[in-house]
Amino acid sequence: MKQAISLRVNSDEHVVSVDLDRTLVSVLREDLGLTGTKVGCGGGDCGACTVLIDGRTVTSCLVLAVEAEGREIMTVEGLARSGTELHPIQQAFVEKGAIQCGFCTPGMEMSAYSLLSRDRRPTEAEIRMGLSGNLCRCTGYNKIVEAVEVAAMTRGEPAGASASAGSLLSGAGAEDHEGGPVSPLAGGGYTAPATVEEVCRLLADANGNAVLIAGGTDLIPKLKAAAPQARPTVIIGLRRIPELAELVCDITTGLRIGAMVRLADVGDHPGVRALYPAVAEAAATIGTPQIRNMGTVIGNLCNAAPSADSAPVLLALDAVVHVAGPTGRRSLRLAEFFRGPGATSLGPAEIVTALEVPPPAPRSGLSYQHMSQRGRVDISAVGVAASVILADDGSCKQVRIVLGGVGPTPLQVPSAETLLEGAALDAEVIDSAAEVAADAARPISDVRASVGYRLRMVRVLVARALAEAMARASADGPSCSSSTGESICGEISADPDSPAGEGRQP
Amino acid sequence: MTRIEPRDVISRRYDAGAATEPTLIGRDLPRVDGPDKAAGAALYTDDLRLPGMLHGRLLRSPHAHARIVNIDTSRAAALNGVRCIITGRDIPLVRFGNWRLMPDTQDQHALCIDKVRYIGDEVAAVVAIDVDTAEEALSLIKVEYESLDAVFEVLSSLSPEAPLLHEELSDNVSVNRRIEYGDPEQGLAESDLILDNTFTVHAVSAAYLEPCSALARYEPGGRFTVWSSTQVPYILQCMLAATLGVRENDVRVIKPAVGGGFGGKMELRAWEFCAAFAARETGRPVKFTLSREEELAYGRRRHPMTIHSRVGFRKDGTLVAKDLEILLDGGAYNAMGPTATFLSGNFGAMLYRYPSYRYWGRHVYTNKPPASAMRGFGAPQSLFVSESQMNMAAKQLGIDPIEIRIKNAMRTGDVIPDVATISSCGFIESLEKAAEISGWHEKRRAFRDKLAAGSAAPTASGAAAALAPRRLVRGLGVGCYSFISGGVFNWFNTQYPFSAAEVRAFSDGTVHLLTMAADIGQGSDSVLVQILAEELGLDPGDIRLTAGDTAMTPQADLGTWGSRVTLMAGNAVLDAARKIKEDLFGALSARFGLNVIYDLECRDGRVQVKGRPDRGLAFGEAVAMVQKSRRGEPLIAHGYYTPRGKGLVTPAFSFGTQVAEVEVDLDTGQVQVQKMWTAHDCGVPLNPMGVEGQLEGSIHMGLGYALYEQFAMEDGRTLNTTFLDYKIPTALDMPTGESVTIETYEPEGPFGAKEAGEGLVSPTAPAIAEAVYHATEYRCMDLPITPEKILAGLDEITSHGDTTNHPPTGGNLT
Repeated sequence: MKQAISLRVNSDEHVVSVDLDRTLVSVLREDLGLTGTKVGCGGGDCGACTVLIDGRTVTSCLVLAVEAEGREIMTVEGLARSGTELHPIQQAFVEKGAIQCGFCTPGMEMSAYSLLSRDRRPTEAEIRMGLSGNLCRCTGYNKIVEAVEVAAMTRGEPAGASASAGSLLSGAGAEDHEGGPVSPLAGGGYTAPATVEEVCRLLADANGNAVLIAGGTDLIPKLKAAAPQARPTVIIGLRRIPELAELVCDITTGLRIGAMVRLADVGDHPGVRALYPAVAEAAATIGTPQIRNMGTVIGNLCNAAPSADSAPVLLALDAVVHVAGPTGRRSLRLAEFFRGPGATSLGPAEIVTALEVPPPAPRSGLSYQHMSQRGRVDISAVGVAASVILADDGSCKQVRIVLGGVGPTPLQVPSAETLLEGAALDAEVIDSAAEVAADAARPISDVRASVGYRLRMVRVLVARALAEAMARASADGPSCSSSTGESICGEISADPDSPAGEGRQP
Repeated sequence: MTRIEPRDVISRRYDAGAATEPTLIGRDLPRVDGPDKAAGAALYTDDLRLPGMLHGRLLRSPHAHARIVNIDTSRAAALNGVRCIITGRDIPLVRFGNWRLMPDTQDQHALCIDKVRYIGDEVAAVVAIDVDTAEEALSLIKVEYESLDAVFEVLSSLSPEAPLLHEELSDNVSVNRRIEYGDPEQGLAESDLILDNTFTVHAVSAAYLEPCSALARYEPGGRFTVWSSTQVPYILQCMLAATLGVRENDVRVIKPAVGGGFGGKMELRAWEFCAAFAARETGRPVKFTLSREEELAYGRRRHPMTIHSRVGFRKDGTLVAKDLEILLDGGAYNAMGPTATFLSGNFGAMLYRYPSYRYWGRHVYTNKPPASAMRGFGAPQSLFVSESQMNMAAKQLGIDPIEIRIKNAMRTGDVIPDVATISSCGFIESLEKAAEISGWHEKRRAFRDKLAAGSAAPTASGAAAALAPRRLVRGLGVGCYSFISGGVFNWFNTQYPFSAAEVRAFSDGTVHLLTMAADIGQGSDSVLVQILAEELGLDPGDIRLTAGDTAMTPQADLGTWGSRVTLMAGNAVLDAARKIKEDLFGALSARFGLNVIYDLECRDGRVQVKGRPDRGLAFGEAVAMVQKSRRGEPLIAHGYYTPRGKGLVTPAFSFGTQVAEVEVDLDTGQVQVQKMWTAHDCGVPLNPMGVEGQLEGSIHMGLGYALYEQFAMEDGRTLNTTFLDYKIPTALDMPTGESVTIETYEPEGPFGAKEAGEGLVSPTAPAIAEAVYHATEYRCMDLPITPEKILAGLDEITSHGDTTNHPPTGGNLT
């Protein structure tokens, strides 16, 4: 069933009629003739289809066209000032030999543009990180990095392209709250309701034929893989619900992450980085910059992959999950949430609205250690979170060890925890705990790692996680009045009508 | 021949006898297609749309080996929107393959006829009004298979009981290649040290970013036009004509911008044939574009090989003999396997002076996706072994790895029987320079001392490090390469020169270059423009280029493979340019009544008496004069190049040395490549920025080959079919690097140039493997070098000592 939508691309409005499962990249290329955006993999892994939505890079093969309505889309065609004048980034790519086959180039340029819009003088390491979601098979990247360095030095604002620059730095939060297809769904279609209650009602009405979309990074590959007849007829977008956009980090109340908070929001948030550094680190290890701009922390949990990087740290912090359903709202411990690979304890018409983490205890420390076999951007074959609370005498008062990727769900390891609690943490006791943790792991062999390697890495990573958590706990406890200033404890919400903190669940 | 002195990248030397002093050679010119690509405006095949265009998808075999009993397409054909279904029953029964010279090797049909031979083998194609409809129709085609025994490993495929993949053969060996000179057995008998090792190397994907795509149009008069992501437009034209049953000139192949190939786009493939065939059947344009999953699960790969090599040395490190036996795992069809079989043996004899040498290569069928050409074409595999054994011999003989190489290195003028004469060679200089810039001797000693002192010490500091110390060790390793500048052996049996160029000069001062050479990203269009502009004394901006269109550009050019374009197409361009110059000089001479002994030149946009700009004409004026003198006939010249008298392999060899520094985490087995140093001899680098780009791209691919990339296979099925699980290095994985060009002048190459960038994919893996060995004493003999293998290797060393470099398993000191 087709739906008419209006897309704003490079400042031009286009009205197109699209099927529910059409991706943004296919509409850009096929309906709008904007073929500068390339498809290299169709799975969000190569970055050739990178475009900007509201100033952030996304892989447009993982964006549903219906979800892009009402947002500011910018493609490579929006970069150049005219047919005769390239954008300084493009000019630098040409002059520095950063282009060979050219197929990755438009996506690279969009990532570079986004990077330079946020940071006028990035370091080489920041450039490499900023480009790490864009694969290139020809250049070896070094000339691309050089080109971005040169573009950064070029006078004139990098954000000065033809597309409107005003929206480039919009933060996290619910996107536009007006307009768009908020239609009642007679025969199916896409809708983006304004309240959680409406979502639950739609879910119940659809009787299993509906799916929720938050970031879409896991959903769209699933939609593509499904036979056309087996695809859901109703897609419910969560992007217009203000309460889901909240990210609150406060030393007295703790951390609250709404269902639409992106991984990048958490990874980049100064407050989270100061109070819960391991939570920020775990969020920053997932996927690529584009994936982190799209994917949500809660989506990562709801997908319930055994290897989900955000799960172990949140379990180690004893996070609470808030759920809404047709019969009202409830809360449960994250530990009760996971049931198996891809399975959670959510009911059929329930959604997770937020999760909450208690404020960090005095003299506590948290660490996330992960390991993949190959390369820096990878799915973790093993991930280990450890949280440590020290007693006044420096011994271990409380410890949590959670293993990811080595069982059907993330595993907490009480046997190892018992060993540590009450003990003074030295290298020897840490080694014994690591040994016990490895005994508890139940990994499988797959294309990412063998059983033997995973077990061995559990031992290594548990020791490393405990050591780092211990070191962090021993250091001065996190404080709002630290040199980073007040802002680290701030609250963000892009929606001015919805002050952060409001609408929080009891 | 004299030894060429090493020179820094900045200093350049040119042929002293050249008529003019070059002004564009050696300059970092930006690519001619750069702005178009930067703007996102360059058109690749899948960007093209024609009115009424239909979309095709392929039905692939779910079986590794099966007989096709029946195909029922009736339900699919009845689906609304389906326009055409093609199966093996519908197509001409023509076997094809690039090795036309040896028809026995042509083992493939455009679609499977009676058997499928690997999971993914193309069984049928559906063409419909959109991709979704085509895919739905695929699910409605019912194929009845009779499953056959399958074989997945070369050794089992060689067994007499193995199922035959191609019944017209008596076994599964499709190509045998032997090379022998000297007396290897006697040489080995006289050796003080014999290394006798078996290595295995794995399959990897070319992983070009642009998935294959083809668009075809048929004109009712009987002409096909096919746009395709190909690196061989002329070969594709011939193969399409053969399989469609039409004459060559009834097919026009156009190569749009191509998003990388690396060898993976140099054959006719099912979708190209099906697009053309269906365009004729339906009367409408038809496009096929592959998915990344198809590319990774069923696409061409670099050959996995099992390599048994016996090498003999004297105590002083002098090489005496080599006996090399290679089994190439070819997968289900020959593809470009015969070339890889030949070249692996040729590369095995390169780099060093082997007084006696024997090679036996066998290309073996297995029920897996076919292997084919991929950057290096046999060199990465063969040289991984050569270079690993040089490192092992150095260790066992107590000689420095660089020194043992210098002792045996090939030099300019060396002759390799059956293979080649080395017309230019900066190998020794590359070894010396690489050692110098990497701080080889100091670092080798320092890392080794540290290891010996047992100080795999915690390098991190702080409280965390004290509780869980990291054990990090460093190592330095070296690997070398030699590579070809295009192939001489005419396996395609072309009836044309190997390369051709047409140059049209205009009175407005512009020149139009037409060539069938295929730029697939490597920058050959830019280099050819540079060569032409240089020879005609013009600015690159004066040159217009049309490339890769079989109806427009001169027959023939065999395309892009084996690093042939700069040398071969470059020489063809030079040939045409010189003919143009002759006509211009004639006009100038007539205009000024010049003495016949005067030396004339094209320079700075003028045609003039050398050093006398006053006695000259603007380029366009000179062209106008020629044209006037011919009463309007335009000034056009054709140039050609075919290597002759250059042996059977290549007209010119490149050489080089690479040093890798790695850090290994002894607890996780993870390897971090810290830095790469490269010193390479590519003749005269025409465009140093382009050469560097090739070098860095090679390191990327070599790094992936050494550490990250591999296929997980289970009973012939590829399990990792996304870039999430097939890992090519990202910007975060690339080490920094430093490189130096050892400049030699290759007499056979345009302006002294030869191969750059393909051979460089070879030294990276052996250099990293040696660096890992240097750091840990674990020697990898089965690529890739994974953390699991390193940990297992370290366990082995802990319990049994270093077994790879000592008798009896590794070497035999007699």
